[in-house]
Amino acid sequence: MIGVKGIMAFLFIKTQPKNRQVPVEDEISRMKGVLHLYEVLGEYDMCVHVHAETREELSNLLYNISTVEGVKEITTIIISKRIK
Amino acid sequence: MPDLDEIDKKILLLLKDNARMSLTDIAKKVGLSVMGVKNRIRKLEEKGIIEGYSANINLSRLGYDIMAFVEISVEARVRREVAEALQKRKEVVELYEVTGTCDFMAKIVVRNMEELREFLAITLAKMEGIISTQTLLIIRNYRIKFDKLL
Repeated sequence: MIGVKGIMAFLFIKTQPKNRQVPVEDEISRMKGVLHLYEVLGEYDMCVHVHAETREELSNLLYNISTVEGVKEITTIIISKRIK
Repeated sequence: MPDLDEIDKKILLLLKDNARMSLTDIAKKVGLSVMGVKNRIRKLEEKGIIEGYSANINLSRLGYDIMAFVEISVEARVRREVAEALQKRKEVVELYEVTGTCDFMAKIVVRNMEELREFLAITLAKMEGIISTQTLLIIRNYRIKFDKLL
């Protein structure tokens, strides 16, 4: 049981050029459905925890994020169960 | 490829969009008599080009909010058994045996993420011979027109 109706996911995002990182973070953090946003180390530049009521809402959110200038790549990991 | 003229193609496209369109409306749109349209539809049915008529049911309205494709790789020895078991599951609404990086592609419809998880982590995990699965959540459906195929 994930505890919330709808779909929760982590979006792992790569940005380019790297000086777009902060504006990208600002823009994404204001979007409806974004619960948490983390800057991360490693292969990706940020991790966004999102919630969408419906599949279409998730699709729209992905579209909105993917069209932010500086977002190069998004990998979506759907949460199937919140354990803790 | 059976011999279809432009009128047959128009009739097929009209019925594909709305199988309940009246013969009178179809006749007006293609410029034939009602009887002419009726005969053509009968021939298309006899040739098996029109296999049947069905309603498009909006599963979301019935509470089935989650749809996903699950790519399933299985051990070759249990291929048939897995296919039979998957066909019996109510969550599996379409099932294809495919070539490439997996053996089966199943379209799954469930009410919520909890049911999806249960299907993946319990139902599939219990099936003998399944090597791996990859789940692709469907987040938007596009309506594809196939006018160009005709």
